[in-house]
Amino acid sequence: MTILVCDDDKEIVDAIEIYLQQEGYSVEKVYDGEQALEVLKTKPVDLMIIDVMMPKLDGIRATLQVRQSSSIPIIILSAKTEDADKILGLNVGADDYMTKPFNPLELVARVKSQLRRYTTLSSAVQGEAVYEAGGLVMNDDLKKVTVDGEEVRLTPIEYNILLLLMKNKGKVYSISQIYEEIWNEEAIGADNTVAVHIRHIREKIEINPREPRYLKVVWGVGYKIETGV
Amino acid sequence: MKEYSNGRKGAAIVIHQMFLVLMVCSIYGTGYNIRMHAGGLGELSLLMVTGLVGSFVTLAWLTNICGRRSEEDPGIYLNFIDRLYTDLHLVLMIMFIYLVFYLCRNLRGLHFEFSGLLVAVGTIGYLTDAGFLIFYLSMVRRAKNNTLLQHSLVWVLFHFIRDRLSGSFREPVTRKARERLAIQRAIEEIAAGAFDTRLDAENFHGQERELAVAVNHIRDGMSDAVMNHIKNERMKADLITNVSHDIKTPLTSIVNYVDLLKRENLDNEKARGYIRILDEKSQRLKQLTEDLVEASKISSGNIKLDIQEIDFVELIYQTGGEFNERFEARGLTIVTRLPHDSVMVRADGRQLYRAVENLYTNAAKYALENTRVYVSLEEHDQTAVFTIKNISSRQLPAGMPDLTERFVRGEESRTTEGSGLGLSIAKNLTTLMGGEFEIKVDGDLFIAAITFHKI
Repeated sequence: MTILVCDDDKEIVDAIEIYLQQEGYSVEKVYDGEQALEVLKTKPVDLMIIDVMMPKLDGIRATLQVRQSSSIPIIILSAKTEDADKILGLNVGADDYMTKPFNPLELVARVKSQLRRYTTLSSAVQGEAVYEAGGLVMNDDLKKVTVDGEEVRLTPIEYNILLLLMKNKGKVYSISQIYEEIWNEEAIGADNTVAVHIRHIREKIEINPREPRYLKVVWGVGYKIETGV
Repeated sequence: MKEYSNGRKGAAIVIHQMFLVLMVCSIYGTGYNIRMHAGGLGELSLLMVTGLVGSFVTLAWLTNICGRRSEEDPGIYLNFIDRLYTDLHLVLMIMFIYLVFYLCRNLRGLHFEFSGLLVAVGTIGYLTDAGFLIFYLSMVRRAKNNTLLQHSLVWVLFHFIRDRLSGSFREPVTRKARERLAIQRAIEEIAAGAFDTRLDAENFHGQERELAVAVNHIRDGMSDAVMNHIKNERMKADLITNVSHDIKTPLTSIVNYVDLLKRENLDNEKARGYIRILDEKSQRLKQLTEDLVEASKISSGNIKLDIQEIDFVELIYQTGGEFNERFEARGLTIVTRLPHDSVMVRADGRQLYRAVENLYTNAAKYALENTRVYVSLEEHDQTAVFTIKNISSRQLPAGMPDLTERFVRGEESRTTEGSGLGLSIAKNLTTLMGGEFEIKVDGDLFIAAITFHKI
């Protein structure tokens, strides 16, 4: 598989190339938006990693142009960390947004995740007891949880909590509500138990548990599964 | 500037009265001549028309300028006559008219020469007009000042009785008092920080206008100072953000290549040690850049808050869930004392979490190993107080510096992790959401408290 890496800082592109090649991907290196569009026209590319602040054509405009003709996964890699920048990037058609300085292993994990989703999403099994939120799929018949096609192992309590939230996507459950549903007892003076389980689930299903995509914390209210991921 | 001086007004009044006496006398003369079958009616008519036109023109001009001081000054200035209540003045005028009629009726009984009669008619005309002018011009001034009806005994009595019945605060009656009150309210608003209040000088008169203009100047001055301060803070935040973007690009390469070096399986023990130091320091630099941007954004208020009703108890449990393993790793036990029921406060849940998270991080980093960390939420009448207490692993320096200042840490050497911005961020976030943030140090005991109003 070929990955296009576009950043005006040559050393960053080289480093990313090393990490991706270790995982068996081939890499096309370009240093501005115009070159990226050129390569996309002439060569088959499976995924693009693009910086935002670049000379000639910036990453946002390049993404907009790519989206007019292609649906390949695009990961934006930027030094801009504001929420507004992330929202802009995702709105113009990027699939993921990572901030610099990034953890190279996390970048590789996100690349894999996007590629799996891109290639396996269409073949997702539809059944009665299947719950989906983006790349997160729960098959309650088989008691199986997959993220972007890769199986995740949960403990029975973690599984039940996640199932409760997946069955009611978008609904916010408080700690005591979750406790009463899962343990079937009244929550008298709850403790950290539920919160700890939730964090363990996040560590298993999220690439970066500190910035969860699926299992969101609504601070001071409860937990929910994000709709529309 | 075209002045309407008292001299000019007086002259206009004299001219007006001359024309009027001329008109009255010529009317009387015409009647006399007709009765006597004497000639000269044409000349008399001419005098009559001249008197009529002249007196009306001067009256119109007087009506226009009365109460004003110059062409540029739109203010209305009242004199002592205008202090008389409108209805009292009206009664006086009616009495005056009655007196004039009484005089006229007696005049018929007198047998004067024609010239004597003419003088009597002229005098009565002059006095009547003088009385009329005093009344009329005063009414015009009141009408211009919009106090024609308000400044009457009936109105005042009516309001006095109504206010007595309803028991409400009496609105000031005189214009001066009203304007003073308006200025006072504007000053109170400015003192409270509302810089959008602006007094319209057009609505004020005399001394009050000068006051109103001065109040506007103060408002402008303060507003400029505050805006400048905000602008400077924003510029500072923008500068820090931009600089941090520039730092992040080379930092990305440093982090990545240090990571690549780590994977190179170097045999040299020393080199591995050096790389470990590079790794730690570059991670620290990364954390520092991120915290710096956050701290400057928060202290400049450059952050959007989503204020909702949230459950403080739930938030503390959630935070505890995020941290329990970090505490366990250092042998710390969290002792949590929270109310059984929800404690609702108005705050931005995500930002309140960041504030509380910073306090937990602080405890996780600086608490003495194998001790207990006490977390509690106490409910008072109006407030909910979140407190976290821990025993510091190092002796906190005597004459404790303000730990919530940026870059201040409870240790002299800056060898451990942490940017020194955590408590500053927590404090600024809390105050930004309307809460209170307090830190106390008692020997080795470190106490941090966040107070919010309960709903």
